[in-house]
Amino acid sequence: MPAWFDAALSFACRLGWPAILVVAIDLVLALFAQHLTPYSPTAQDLMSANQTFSAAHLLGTDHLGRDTLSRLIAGSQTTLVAVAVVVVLAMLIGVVIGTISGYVGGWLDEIVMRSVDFMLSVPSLIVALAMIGIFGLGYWNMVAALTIAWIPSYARITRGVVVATVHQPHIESLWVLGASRTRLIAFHLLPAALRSILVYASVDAGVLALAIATLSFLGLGIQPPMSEWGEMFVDAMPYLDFSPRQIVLPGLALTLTVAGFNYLGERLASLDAPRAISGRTLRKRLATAQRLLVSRTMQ
Amino acid sequence: MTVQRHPATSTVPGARDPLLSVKGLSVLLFTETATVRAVTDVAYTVHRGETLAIVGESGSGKTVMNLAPLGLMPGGVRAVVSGSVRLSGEDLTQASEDRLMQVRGRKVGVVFQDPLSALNPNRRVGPQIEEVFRLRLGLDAAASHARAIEFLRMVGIPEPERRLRMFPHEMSGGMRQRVMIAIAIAAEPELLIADEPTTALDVTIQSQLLELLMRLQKQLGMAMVLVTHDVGVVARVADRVAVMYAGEIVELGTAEEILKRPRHPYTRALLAAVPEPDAPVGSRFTGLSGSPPDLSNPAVGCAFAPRCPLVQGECTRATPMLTQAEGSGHLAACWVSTPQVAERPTR
Amino acid sequence: MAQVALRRLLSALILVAVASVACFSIVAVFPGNVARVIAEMRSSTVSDEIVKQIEVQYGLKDPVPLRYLRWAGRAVRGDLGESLRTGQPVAKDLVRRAPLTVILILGGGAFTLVMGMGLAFLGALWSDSVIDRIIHVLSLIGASAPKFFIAALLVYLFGVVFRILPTYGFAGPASWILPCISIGIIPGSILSRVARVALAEEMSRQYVVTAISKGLPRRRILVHDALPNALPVTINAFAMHFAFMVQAALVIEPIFAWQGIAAYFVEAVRFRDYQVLQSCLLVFCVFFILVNLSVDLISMALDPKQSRQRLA
Repeated sequence: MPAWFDAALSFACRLGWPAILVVAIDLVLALFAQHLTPYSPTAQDLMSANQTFSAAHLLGTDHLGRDTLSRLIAGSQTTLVAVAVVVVLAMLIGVVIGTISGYVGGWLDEIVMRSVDFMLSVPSLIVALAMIGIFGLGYWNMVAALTIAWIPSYARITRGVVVATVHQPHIESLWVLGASRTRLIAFHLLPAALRSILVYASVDAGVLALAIATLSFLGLGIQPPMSEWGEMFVDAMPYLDFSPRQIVLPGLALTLTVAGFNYLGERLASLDAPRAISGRTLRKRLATAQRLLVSRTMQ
Repeated sequence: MTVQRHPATSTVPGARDPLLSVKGLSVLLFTETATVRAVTDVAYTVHRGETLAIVGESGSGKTVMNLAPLGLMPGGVRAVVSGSVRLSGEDLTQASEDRLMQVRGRKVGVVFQDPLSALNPNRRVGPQIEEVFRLRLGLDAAASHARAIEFLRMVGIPEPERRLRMFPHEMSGGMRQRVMIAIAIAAEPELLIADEPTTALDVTIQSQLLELLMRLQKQLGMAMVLVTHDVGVVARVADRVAVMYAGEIVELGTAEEILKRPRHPYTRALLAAVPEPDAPVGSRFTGLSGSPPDLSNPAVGCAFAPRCPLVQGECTRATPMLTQAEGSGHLAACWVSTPQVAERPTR
Repeated sequence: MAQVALRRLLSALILVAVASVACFSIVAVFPGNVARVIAEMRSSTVSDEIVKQIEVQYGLKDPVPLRYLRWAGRAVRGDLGESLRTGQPVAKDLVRRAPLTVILILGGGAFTLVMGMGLAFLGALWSDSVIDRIIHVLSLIGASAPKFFIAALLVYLFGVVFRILPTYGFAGPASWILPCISIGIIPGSILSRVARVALAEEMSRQYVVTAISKGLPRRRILVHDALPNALPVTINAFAMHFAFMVQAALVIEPIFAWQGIAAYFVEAVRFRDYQVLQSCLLVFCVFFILVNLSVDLISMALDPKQSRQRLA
């Protein structure tokens, strides 16, 4: 085994912090996309189509002569905005459902959790696709479809934490002291649930970015002329033979972003683990989270 | 599991060769958090047909001392062995991994402490015994099956044909340990190491198994090293005894000498901790205060000094050597009870 | 044992029924006027009268439970209705397309298994070697890289650079290789890590020390003790990846221009072809339930604590 190969491997093993750096860069690019793109991401220039790296076009151009760098930057904005919207929506709805379900308990809890489990047993991308089939194509339809597909996991996590917290002695004593329902939920149950949810959401963001890219790749998500990595990818597929650069660049951007989110979530989870709740509850919670993560990362 | 070996000091074999001769053996253990010197510069011998009991509290290094030179440390623990461990003249610390594989099973059999975890839970007992005959002795399937039945009968298991088809979890603890013993003696080793073989079992079964071990030892002419923390077991089984404290042998002699005339204060404390059956009602049970030293950070002087009732100035300055007392075969490492011939260099 | 298996089978059947209700109602309950979509598909000009006419024609005005029973009754007899777009019977289309998806998923599953178990076994055989590093890196990439990216890279490598494998279409075993590798390589790298960890855990058990004390070689212990004991964990992980291959097929089939069931589903989504959508969902659900059922049965057969009941 040559030495450089070994070195490359061990470097790849420690990719964590670079990956987080990628997420940070992504965020900056997304926030200031309009100011950072050297060209308009939609400006076609057929005279300079399919160019390779050059001073004028740092990362070259695609088959319509659009500047690849500009499109990548615009794509980071599209992706991160869509991810943020879906995560926030799914989180809000999921947290509400999970809190009510876990707090009220009884048959309501049973029904809600059964349907959640059923939805979770089907890959979320297939759920999202079915929803798009019902709603039709379009940006907001895609957001709605992804939100519906992503609600169950948030509901499940919230419900788990709420149930675990409700039976903790300090909550039970508050209950005995006559604390009001809203007070209990708002100041004690929700904060407990939010910790686990935020950790989960950071990994989930990566999975969502993948899902959005996959939908766009299938032509069912982000529609042209908006730039998105999956959409750039499918655009470039016919030119794979002579211009692999055009698929490698968005592919790498996507992979690094997802890896960054994954690593971020992992770090957050390990920060969170020792303190929150001890013993069996924690292990059970981690196991559930793990299961959810595993089923999601398999997109 | 990885065992690395350091070059040992060369030793001259004695005239009347013992089966096992250990000299200057030290073992370093590497765990995730610390490096521990589990065994420090021990020396002992085991002759053919003899039983040596190694006594000490948990964590005194008695198990590591016996198993590390054979490469039998549990998973995840790295052991570095230095010194010499001669088994019929062959230094195991110098042996290659392939050679060690030949030695294990054929020359040395091991009975482990907890038979439930020491047997593969998902395989029937039969194949677990038979593979020794098949792979080590080169017997065919039918012959090894017959041999397995014979050995189960030898260790006192009724209906051996039926038991061979059982899984470990379908047997009682005593029965499992008998199976474990059958596996250890299957290739008829010269030395049997029994690592706390009765600790995980009921008291009544303990004595049955001790009887069994003693009978098998005579029958097969093996030497036995019995690792235990139970002084009662020592009295019944051992010819000679080594007492270990904090990774060192502090006293070594015949069972009679040590049980009747213990020299080291630690041995005395150990013996005093055994409740006597005919002691008057209401008499106090003598324990030992304090706890054994931290082996990852050894202090200067005798390791037992902080807990010793006879401690003197000398004890905290230098480590005592295992020294012969008054011409007998009885050795002890103590400044107070056994005058030292020469001071050994501090480590 | 047989009784437990029978109970599992029964609950799987009930699950299929539940799944059929879910697949049906997903279309029936959600907003979006089905009749209007059908009308739009037929002609460019849509008047309210035509919509009403279609509603009557398809029985869309009837109560939902009645429509479900009608649909389920026909589905049991193998009639899944006609595609709204092409008018072809859905069941016939599904049967025609099934071999492609089955080959893709079975081949991908086999590749996953061979790659995952193979790497894990080699890693355990030479522990702390370069193979363990490769497993680590692969699992990192596998958790982050999009399937279509990996597939495109493979196409480029084997189809464009080396020109040794066909990259397009469905024609004989040679054309199956690349799609199956593309779909199996990511689950394979994740599985290799799961299996490697499971093997390492087994190799650190006390019974392995016993086996070493018998004087057995490491390889023999790995094959006869550790590997069988690490199987249940590995099989469970594999089953999950296997079931989720349907999801991966959604992107892999279009890349290789395979007209399989997954591609059919994507088409149905694109053209809002409800009949096809429903039927594909049902097929997927039945597949998931079947995979889960077989995992349950296999784990049961592997667990000696279960087979004791068989002996007694």
